[in-house]
Amino acid sequence: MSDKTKDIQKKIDNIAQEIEESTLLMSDDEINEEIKAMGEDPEASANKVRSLIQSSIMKQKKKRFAEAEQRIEQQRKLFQNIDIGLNEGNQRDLLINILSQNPSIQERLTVQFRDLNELSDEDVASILRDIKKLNLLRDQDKDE
Amino acid sequence: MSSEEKDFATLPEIEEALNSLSDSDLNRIKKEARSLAALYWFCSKGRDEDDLMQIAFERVLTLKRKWSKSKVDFVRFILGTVRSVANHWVEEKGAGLEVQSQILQTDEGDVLDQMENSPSHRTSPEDELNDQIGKMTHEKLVEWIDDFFKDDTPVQLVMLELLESKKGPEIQESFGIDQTEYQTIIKRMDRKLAKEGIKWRRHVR
Repeated sequence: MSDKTKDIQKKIDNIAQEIEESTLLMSDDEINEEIKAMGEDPEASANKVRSLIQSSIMKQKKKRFAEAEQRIEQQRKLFQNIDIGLNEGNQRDLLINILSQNPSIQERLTVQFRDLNELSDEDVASILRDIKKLNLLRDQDKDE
Repeated sequence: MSSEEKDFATLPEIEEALNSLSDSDLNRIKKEARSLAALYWFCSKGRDEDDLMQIAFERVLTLKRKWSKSKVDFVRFILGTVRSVANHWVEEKGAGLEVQSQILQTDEGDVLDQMENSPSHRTSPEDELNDQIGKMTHEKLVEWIDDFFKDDTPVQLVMLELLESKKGPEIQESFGIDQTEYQTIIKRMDRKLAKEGIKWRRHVR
């Protein structure tokens, strides 16, 4: 953003601030009068804003629900990958992936990333089997 | 969690506060949004008060804008959010488009000439163009104030002073008016914006 644009932004906000202060100082009756002067019925106008709020709340709830579903699906896929990882020998990468996406599992297993390279292949496979056995990924889904 | 973070409202608290707004407060928000949509005509791209309010509600419901419960009254917080959304329009890409299109229609050559003669320390043609748009926007705003408030000289004068970044007490002192007179002038400006701003904007488009 250029200096001139910032300057305009600051200047016009100076006017906007006065409008805001004036709006806050108005009594409820004055606000009703202003709405009427805009050619609207105060009750209908308030209900319209209330509907806008309700639709915004619903929209955000749906969005959060969709995001949660997506996270659960990712966890489910990771859980399925444990079987594949155990069979195909890429356990270390899989474990790193799981731990990076699930900090709570990392805490429960008390394994630090810096220690992963020191773990033997058998240890890595054993941890993956423990995760699967303990159903930790699913437990985490429930926590969320 | 710091004490400041603890003071920020949670999502359920925000939803409860929104649901508890009185009719008058809802209308307060609407009136401000209407005035600001008119004030920011040069970068609104046809958006109105409903667009402003919708974006503002989304910002608070996604906690992108946090409400510090002990420091700010909720209605003031929402009004501040609406103002912030409107002010953000200025910095959007192509925000000066409405002013720019008028320039291109009337004196495109002048703009290019001014750009060629501008200081060489500027780094990019885009900055140059933005600066030109900024300068033209300021000039257009002054013209708009002259035109839109032509029947109310006190409002014109106060708005021009505000556009020069002066604050209320300074303006009151320079015009020799008290706070009540000043607030009456601001109310007249606000009412005209809310009542006729959108109509005017449609007229010039």
